[in-house]
Amino acid sequence: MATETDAIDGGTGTTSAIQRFDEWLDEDVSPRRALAVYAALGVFMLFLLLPVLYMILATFTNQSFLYSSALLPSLSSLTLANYVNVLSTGAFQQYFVNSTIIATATTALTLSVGTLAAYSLSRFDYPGRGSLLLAFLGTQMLPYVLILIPFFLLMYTLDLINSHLGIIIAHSVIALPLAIWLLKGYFDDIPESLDEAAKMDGCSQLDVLARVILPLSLPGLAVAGFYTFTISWNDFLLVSVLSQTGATRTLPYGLQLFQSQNQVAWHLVLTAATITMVPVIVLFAAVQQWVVKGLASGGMKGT
Amino acid sequence: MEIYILILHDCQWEAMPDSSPDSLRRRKLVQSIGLGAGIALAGCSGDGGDGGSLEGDGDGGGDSLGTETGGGDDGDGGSGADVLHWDAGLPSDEEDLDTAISNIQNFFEERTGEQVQITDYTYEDMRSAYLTGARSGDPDSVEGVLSHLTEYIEADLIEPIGDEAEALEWYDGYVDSTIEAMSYQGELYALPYTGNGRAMIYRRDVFEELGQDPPETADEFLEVGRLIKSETDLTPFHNCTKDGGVRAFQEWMSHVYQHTENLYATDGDGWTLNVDADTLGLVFDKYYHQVWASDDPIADPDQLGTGWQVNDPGYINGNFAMIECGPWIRGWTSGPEIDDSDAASEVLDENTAVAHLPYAEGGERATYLEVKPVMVNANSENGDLGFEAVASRCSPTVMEQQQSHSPGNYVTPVHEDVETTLESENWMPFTDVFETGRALAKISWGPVRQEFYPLMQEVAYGETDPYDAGSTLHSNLKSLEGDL
Amino acid sequence: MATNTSQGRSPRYSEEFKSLLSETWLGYALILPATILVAAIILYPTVRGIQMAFLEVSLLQPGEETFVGLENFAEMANDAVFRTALWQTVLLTALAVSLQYLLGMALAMVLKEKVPGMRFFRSVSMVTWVLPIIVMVILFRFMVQNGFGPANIVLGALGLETTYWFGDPEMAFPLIVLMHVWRNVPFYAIALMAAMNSIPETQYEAARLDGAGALQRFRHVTLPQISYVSMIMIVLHVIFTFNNFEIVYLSTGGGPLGNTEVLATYVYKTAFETYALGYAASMGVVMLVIMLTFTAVYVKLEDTD
Repeated sequence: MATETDAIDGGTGTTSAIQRFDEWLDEDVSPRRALAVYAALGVFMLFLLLPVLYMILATFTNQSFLYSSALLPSLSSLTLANYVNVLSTGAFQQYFVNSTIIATATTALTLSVGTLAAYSLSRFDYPGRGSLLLAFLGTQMLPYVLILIPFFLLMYTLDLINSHLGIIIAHSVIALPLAIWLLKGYFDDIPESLDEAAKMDGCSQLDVLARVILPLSLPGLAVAGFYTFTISWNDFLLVSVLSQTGATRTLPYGLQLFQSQNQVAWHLVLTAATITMVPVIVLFAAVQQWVVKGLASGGMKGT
Repeated sequence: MEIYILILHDCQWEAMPDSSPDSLRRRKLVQSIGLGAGIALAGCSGDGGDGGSLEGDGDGGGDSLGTETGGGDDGDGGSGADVLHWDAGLPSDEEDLDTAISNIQNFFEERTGEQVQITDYTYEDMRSAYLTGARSGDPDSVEGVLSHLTEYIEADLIEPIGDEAEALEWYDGYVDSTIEAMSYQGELYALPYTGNGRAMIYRRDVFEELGQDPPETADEFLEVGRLIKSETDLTPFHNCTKDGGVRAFQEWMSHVYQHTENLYATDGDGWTLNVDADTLGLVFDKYYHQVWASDDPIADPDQLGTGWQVNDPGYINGNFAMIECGPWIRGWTSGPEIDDSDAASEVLDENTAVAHLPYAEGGERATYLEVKPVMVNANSENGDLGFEAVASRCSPTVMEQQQSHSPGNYVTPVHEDVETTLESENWMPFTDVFETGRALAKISWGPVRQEFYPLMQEVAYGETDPYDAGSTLHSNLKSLEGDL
Repeated sequence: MATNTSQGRSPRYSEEFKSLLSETWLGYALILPATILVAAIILYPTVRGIQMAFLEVSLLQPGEETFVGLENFAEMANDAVFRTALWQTVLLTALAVSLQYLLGMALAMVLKEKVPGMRFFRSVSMVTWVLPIIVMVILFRFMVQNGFGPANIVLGALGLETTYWFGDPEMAFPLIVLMHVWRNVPFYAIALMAAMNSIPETQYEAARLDGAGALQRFRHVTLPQISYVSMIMIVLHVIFTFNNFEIVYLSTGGGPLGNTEVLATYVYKTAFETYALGYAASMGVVMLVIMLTFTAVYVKLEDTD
């Protein structure tokens, strides 16, 4: 990005700027083609990002702007008041903490259990292996509304209602199948000659996992971990069933409560919504390279 | 065939890809290896050390999990409370909410020496959570609306509290009609803390300017609405048409009650529908078709499908000339929904008056009686304290304390020791309206509501003739008789 | 796998054989925690859910159940709301998934171009996919507020009709489709882009030498090589869209006029408004069967290709 800006406003003369621009383009990308690509990108980015950016902008304005029919606020009217207001709400802080604990623990549980399972599916051969994987993936097909009520009864019997642990387990269960599948795809990609070499050097099967497979699959772990975190952070339905007090409510559930109690207070509702999405977006920014690459290979590959 | 060069020194290795250009997968691996390269493999040299070394590693699934979930397990009652109470009738402003909760908690603690934890909810969420989860014993007590009371009785989710209630020193002070509304087959199932009748709330200034009196009948109502539409900038009227919304149902029931004692009458064992198709059609016509979908509607069709969230603040913010509402709107002059507090005070204090709801031909003055029950979970392991939570929520002392932040709940108090919060003459008619209120029969209202919403919306959106919708509703409600 | 690839490399056959036996057990042991976790939580609710489909049981009295055989399923035939919800679910899924696929493909073609800054765009385009559904719903509801929602301000300035679009019987359904599309297009794009990138350039050159035009190259080189990824994406999203409850529940609740009612929300309402748990469960079973059939048929077709 930095280099791109350089190309546009830096440089001593137009010729050198164009030259440098050409250098950043791959040999086979003509400027005309690049222009078309940027135009198409612009259309897509408008469609995808403009609403999100506008929402973020709106959180820095006040209610009277939101209710006016103006599209853009004046710079002087921008304010942090909404953030102060929402963030100082005790319940909201509590939900934020709950969300963080639950999503982090869900990710840890899913990754540890999922890694073992994926390693087993990738490196061991035993009867029932294929059908186990299918069974895992099959659970993704269950409509939640079908199992909601018996699910509550089960969790009640297990004494997992209204506890962080119960929600963590529930979230792990819904994230596990795809996490295992993604990880397995990653592990499959690592040549077994590496395993063999490590074993020849005295590593046991578990050593191979810990010292060969895991270090090589960090991008895969990042993808699976991010996927799991997002599932947990974003879930509404299961929390609405399992939570009975503010002590276990998470942000999406709290947000739904908040917006039905303050339906006309758009400045606050949008701010709360923005705060809810910020952690997943920050986390995504941190792992995005791996996520994009991970989706680009791993489980998505065609073998 | 993948070619890797492995350099192994005592199980320390570096993997390097061959240099031939190849697919993305190869490139990904190169990068992966770049990432993994720093992680040395010391420790498994020599005699193939078994397992063991797995834990210490960076991935650390097992370890972090243990601490994290261990900390989270004490989810219920972080404050060490003994009793859990659910409530959707608390103020939404955070400061007021805290005050309201501590008023109840303090009273409870004084009486029992124990702690009560209070969780706020919306009615919709609370109802489904209670129906799904109350058998678990939590919460110990629950607030609700009348239709919830009926459902919970039916589901054996609340228990009779007559004996304990009668022992309360303030029991005799509850207004009879509200206690009656809390009873079923001679048993008392709840205590009330607030009650009201729905009235027509209108802009006195606008009516005076146009030289109009508040409408007594539906036709006068529509006529004055159309006059307001042509003479002023205000939207003459708004009512709730939201699918599934509680208010929409209550507003409709108000008008049904003007024509019948109750929608269903009991004949000993079963229930029979107690209204005819034409009446249902008439109510649809006057308050939904004429209002929203006729050639000259008196509401703003852009606001179709909205609920109280538009209705109440819309009036307070000075956009509507008439709404059907309860007295809670009286003190609502601040909060995120209100554009301008001063303007809102002016509207509510000086320019608002209250009248009976208009009724159509063949009807009389009547309205939906709203009484909010507070109930004890029949599965609670702590029923006695659950009852104490109910008693605290509904005690005259707490009611008076709550007046400061929720004056609207105590305009027509359900207990004689509690003074009305009314000061303005204009609002006094609420007391008369309260007396014309009719409480919901003790049937399961879920299926009735389910039949009502789609037909109401079809009429309001102008898709169906109101009288056709009335007769469809009539036959659908008729067929419910057996299931109620 | 790991155990049978090192033939003849070293004279450690007997050791290999021993480890083969113990490794089978190790394989089971490693997958056990995940299996127990998933089975413990999913198995009972699923079995019970399916069992309830053949019972008459009320939410209010869940202890009293009567076996009614296939009556619940027969009831669906006479239930107009069910038919509408089924049709709308199928329509929503078909529209959303095909639009997602087409737009995702287009975006993938753009994202795979090597121009400066592309890495940045690849990343930011994924933002919509990570948003919590409730945030997306709030965002969309704000955009289409009448009077002050930005979408309506723009429409108004262009002299077009404005209204609260979620409350409009004609527009609410397209809006639901739009939310599904908006949310998932980037995911398709990244996956398809990756698949396209792994096609060796030499194949395109060969096609070019054979005189294939751009479209033909797309048809004969690109499409066949991304069919596996396409299948994965389509199957995943058909399941996701078909079963999705939150988007409709949180944005329109099924209205206005039932125009956005889908099976998931209708099942929920049946359970909580009419208390008919058995009937609700039977509709859930129908959803499950439809998804199983779809997936099985699709995967089979893909395999035989």
